[in-house]
Amino acid sequence: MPAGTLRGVTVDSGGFSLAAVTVIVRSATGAEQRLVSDADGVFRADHLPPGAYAISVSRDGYSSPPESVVQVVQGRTVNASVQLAVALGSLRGVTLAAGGFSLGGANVVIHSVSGAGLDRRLVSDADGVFKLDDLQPGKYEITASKDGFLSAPPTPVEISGKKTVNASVAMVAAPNPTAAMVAPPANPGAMPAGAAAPVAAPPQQAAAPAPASTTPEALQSPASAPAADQFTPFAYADFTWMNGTSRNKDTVLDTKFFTPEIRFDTNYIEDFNQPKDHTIVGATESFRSGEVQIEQASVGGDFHWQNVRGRILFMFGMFATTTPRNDASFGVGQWNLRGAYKYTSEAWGGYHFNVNHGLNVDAGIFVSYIGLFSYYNFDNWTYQPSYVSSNTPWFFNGVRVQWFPTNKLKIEPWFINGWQSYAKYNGHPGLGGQLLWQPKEWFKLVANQYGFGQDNLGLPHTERIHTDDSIEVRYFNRPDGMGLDKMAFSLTGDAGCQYGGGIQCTGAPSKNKDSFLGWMAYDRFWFHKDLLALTFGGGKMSNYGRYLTLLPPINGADAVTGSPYFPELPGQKAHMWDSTVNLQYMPREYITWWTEVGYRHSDIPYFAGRGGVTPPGFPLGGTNGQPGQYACMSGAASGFADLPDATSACSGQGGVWFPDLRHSEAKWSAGVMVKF
Amino acid sequence: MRWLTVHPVGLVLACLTLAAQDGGGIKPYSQWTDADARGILTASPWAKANTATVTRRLTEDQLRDGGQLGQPHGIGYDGVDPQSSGPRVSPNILSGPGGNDRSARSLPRPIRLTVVWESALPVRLAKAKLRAPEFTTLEGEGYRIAVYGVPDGDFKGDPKTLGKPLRDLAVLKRASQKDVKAVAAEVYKMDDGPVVLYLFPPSAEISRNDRLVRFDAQIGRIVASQIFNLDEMQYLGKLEL
Repeated sequence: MPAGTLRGVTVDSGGFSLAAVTVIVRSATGAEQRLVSDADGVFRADHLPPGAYAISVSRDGYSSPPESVVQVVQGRTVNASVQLAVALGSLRGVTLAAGGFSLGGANVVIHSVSGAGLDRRLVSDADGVFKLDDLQPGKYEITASKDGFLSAPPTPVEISGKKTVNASVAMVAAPNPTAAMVAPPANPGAMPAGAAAPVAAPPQQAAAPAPASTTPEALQSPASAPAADQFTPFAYADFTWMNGTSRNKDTVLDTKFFTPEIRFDTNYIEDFNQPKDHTIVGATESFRSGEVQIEQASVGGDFHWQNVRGRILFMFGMFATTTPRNDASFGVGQWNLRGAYKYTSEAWGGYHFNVNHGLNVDAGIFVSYIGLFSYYNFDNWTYQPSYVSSNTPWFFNGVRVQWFPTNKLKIEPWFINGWQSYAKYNGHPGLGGQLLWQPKEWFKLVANQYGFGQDNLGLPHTERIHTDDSIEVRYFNRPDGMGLDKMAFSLTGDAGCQYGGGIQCTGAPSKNKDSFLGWMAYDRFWFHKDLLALTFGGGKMSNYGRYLTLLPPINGADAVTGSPYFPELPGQKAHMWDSTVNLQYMPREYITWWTEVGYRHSDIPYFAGRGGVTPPGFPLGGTNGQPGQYACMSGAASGFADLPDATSACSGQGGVWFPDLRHSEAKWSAGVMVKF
Repeated sequence: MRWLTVHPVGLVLACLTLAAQDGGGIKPYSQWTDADARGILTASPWAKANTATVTRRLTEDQLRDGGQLGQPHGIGYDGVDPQSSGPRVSPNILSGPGGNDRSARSLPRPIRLTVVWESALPVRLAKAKLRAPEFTTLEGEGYRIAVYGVPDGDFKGDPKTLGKPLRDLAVLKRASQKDVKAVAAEVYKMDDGPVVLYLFPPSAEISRNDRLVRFDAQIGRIVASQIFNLDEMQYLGKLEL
């Protein structure tokens, strides 16, 4: 009888040949022929009468595909290749608390020990049950975690194809649960009475737990697992550990239209130079010695209605005086801008466009993050930052555009009046921008660039450029640790100069060199679930021309008046360094108690000594009203800004008075800061 | 549903055809009880109980750092935080739990949803049998997936307006295939809560060879991910999506 041939290859899901597969060829009459594919996966049946044949295959560890039917034709060889997939195993498990109670909502990690697949993550349901039906065969270890519970040792399981393995994963309640902070379970019924109550997670665990994803290995990657908000910029992780970032985890009060903000910052600073006028110089955070002072008392908040936005934060306390005095642009023209803005640290309005991950256009006064630290001390790792931060802008007045092309990147150009200035000094506005990139929870890169501005009073042809670049890295994180639980460092480098109008960026100081080079680095250690934090750090700057060196308030001098006692002329040097150790105690998310010791050094007389910086007599509240002139020992103004004339004028008044400026300063300080 | 209204004759024919055949693991349509139909809509290869995540509520500072002011409102934002889950201000400012001083809503938590492959024939038949409410405004052919169980809130708007911000936040993933983004999303406020319905283009051409399809979606602060096993989604030996 004429016959045909049936030939095929058994292959796996990847298309590779699969040997030793049992192939059963069954005719329409029910006659069966049993074959086994060879080393190349080939099987063959000859001399088959024409007709329909059913092909079925099987092999241990593989799923058998549905039976296929081929038609054998006389004198022809018919292809009957078959594909088999690896048989997947199933896992059924339950997460248990002490006493054998089921514990719902636990994050379960199934770690592949044998390397058969990637780690899998899911959340147990309200009854503590978790299931996976598509596990590659192999050995796994199961761990589970939940807020307030500690993981027990991993539970080992071995998965085989087509089989279901049952497992239970035990967890124990964390010690010292804090009843006041109990987070409600997802399903109250899942926690039987008597079971240990879960405590709230430490702040580092703010990243969302993985949802009940049963993603197969081929689909799964950590980056693609949507365990957190992947759209809102910087919402995918918790960045509150960072320097310059508020650590608040929730807003006490907010409404649909307005979210208030309140800040209090009170300090006591002891300058070991013991200046008799209690005046500390050379910083934008430390102002008075031996006294309790309110550094900042601010109220305000954010206004928001659909895409319209605005923010205002009023500023009272020392900041209302000490920040405006560093802005010399007030000396340009009329209308007393210093008075207009002195109680305002932020005031801007704008619009949010739904472009990419967000696009904002805002105008007004907004804070600057040049120098990494926040203007508001509550947000910072230390109270007194180094010069690179203290001497660079805290605010800008102008327009900014914030563009978020991704949820991890911000590009923010500025069109501003100038370098921390209420007004425009000369003909050019300031241009600049920030690039902020936070690709991981543990890493931040921020780069601020500035240029074009002519930011010197009376120097219309001198332009300023500046770059300020920082990284922050959290290199240790153990949220459940009762001892050291977190470590991070920040590193900032700054470079800039001024040029034009006879001033130059490089060359000898005698050639009117105006330049700035500086860096600062801080290392912070958190203890006992962020209850305590210890920060070490410091930095250095070299500033020829002293254009970023804070003018000591000698006889009430400010950026407009200048001081004959501390000229800031092109080429004049100012090399300084500092170091700081700060301890913060943070019992609640809205309050910080702190203490700090610091040492600052300058190669020129700069810091207030015992004699202080206030001329004798104090006839006008600490100044004789003429800070731009030399003062006499009587306290009266000499009438001159040059020393020979002042010496002559003061000859009948005990001679010329000089402030007591020293090369170094050591401080101890303490305080409390509150932020709602 | 639009497909019910557009193709009523086809659906009736399908019912009659199915009634005469074995369901391949699922009883023939003619033998379905209401309970069977409800099972199709709640726990079946086409309807999965899902544990999604309500991501943590951001502070105003975190929102501002991300370029936004004020808590977002709308589906997936309003109503997702349990009552009294906000912060508690203690007058004791000398001691406290440190970093553990945080509110429940500032932590992520799980939420139960049901994800249903709405365009699959068994689901359509089950809804027809139960006379379940229909989604009438979502136009276009393709794969339709609905998410049930999202908390209700004080948000208003027509289905298209409410769904517009969600469209770009839903995707179908397959191994070795390009992701398929939703082409439309609508939100229906039903008696028992809102339903989010997504439409994915037919050009995705999902086939049995894909084996598994993962549906990812972000609905406000809710992030959901659900695997569908195509091997299970067979009816009369045919893939029904």
